[in-house]
Amino acid sequence: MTNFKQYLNLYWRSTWKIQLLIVLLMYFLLAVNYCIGYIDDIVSYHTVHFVPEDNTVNVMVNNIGLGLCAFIACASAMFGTMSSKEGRLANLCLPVGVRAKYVTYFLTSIVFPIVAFYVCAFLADWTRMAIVSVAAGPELAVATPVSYMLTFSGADDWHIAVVVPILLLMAQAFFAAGSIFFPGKSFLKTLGLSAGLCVAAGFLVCFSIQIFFPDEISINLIDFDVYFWSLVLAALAVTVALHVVSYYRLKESEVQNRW
Amino acid sequence: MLDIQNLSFGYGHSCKLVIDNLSLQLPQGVVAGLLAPNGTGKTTLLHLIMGALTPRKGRVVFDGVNTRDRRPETLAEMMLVPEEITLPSMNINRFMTLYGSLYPRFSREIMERCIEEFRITDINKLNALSMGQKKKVYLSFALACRPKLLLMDEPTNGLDIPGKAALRRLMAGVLDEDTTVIISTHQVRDLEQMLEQIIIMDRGNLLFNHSVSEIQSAVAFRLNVPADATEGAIDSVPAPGGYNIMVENLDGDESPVNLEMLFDYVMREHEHMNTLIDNALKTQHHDEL
Repeated sequence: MTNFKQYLNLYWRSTWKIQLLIVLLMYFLLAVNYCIGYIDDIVSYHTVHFVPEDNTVNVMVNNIGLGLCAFIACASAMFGTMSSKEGRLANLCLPVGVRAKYVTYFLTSIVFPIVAFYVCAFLADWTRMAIVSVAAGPELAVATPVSYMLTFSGADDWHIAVVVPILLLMAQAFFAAGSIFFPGKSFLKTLGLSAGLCVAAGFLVCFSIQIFFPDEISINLIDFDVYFWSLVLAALAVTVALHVVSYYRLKESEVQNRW
Repeated sequence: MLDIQNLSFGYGHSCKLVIDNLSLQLPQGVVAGLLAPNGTGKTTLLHLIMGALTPRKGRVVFDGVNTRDRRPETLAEMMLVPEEITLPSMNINRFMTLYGSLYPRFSREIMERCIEEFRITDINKLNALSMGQKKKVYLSFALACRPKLLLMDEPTNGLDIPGKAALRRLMAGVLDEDTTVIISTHQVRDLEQMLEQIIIMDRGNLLFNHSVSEIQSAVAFRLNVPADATEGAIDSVPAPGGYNIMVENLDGDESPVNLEMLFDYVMREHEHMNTLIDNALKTQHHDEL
């Protein structure tokens, strides 16, 4: 990949302020989310009838939502340099291979947010522990299990641990593709398109079930493992396909029509 | 060498072609001026040469490589100075380090010399500079990259008078002899002394492509002549103190080319102008034999 290191260095040096802002914002939102999740425990700790409850799952579910927002926001900006006519021209004239550019954008807008999210989640958890320890007692400041942090679920629920990250990657890939196909207002247009596709897919599934299974459908008709792995493979295939399409779209992109 | 072969281009799915079957060859090391009315495809042609646009037909070949392939090694030898410049938010030293590393022939010394010549000082954030200053910085960078093909779209737009003079000095002093330059401009007087080839196009068609010496061998330009001297002239325009005229060069004198007059006449009578030059070249060739 010609000039990959130079371009990666250039791109990071040009966008480091935005990346730092993203990290700080993620950390702040995660820390607030964690602390809010434990407010009940802190309050009830100081009352007579303290009953510690495990809020970990609730916090994890909220974190998936925060993570999703962060990932799709970053992915929507993956091809941000191509959104304006001047930016597109400057980008096209640089002596850097398309592969080098794509890998740079992929590392910055897809991989970095995921790594930053986990780092921020751990930092936020430790922040939560520090605040809870001061506000209540050290016995309440229990670290969230690492398995929960990394998989968004309990250690024994590996199905969710596999599906959730893959679906997050697919959502990222969808918005990354939207970023190259819709240079202007990419996030809104992609959100609208994805909502439309979800609704259309839902109608198609219901319609298909009505047609092919007019009588009651048995829940045991499809083996759960087959269903699970089909879903995983389909999501992976869609993710890879979207990135391939985005890559070739980047390769063939042109200066915007000025009329 | 730059070879444009039967190039056609239109935006979107429009039937209207902005560039229509244009063919053009430029030898290495020539400084060419690209003149055309507004909105007739000058910038589009430069973008096509750079490989930033996909033509509907034809291709642009530079040093044996199709520029539309956008190979990094080819792009490293080409530089486009657009009309509107966008610079990143960083200081000039970092800009030189990061962007200069992409161009193998980039010279920090040349860029510093150009910055000094343009008299740009106190550069902290490039994106906070005025339009003219950004243009000076980018022109300095373009010259410092020492490309084999330099494309400039209205390079003197936004430059102050000292800046224009500095650009002329730098182009004369810094450019390599083997660098091919194409300058698209309306302000011909700013750079006319540097131009060796004149290319005139209109509505996507090539009307005129001749060197300055070929033009001088065919026609001569006389300034501020009295009214009776306009008789027999190819073209004449009123001027302070009389008339500016263009006549056939029968004496073999080499007078400076009046680009405005030439452009105006070519737009009206390009076939006659091309015929005049072809005849002059045939006569010259015959005389040499």
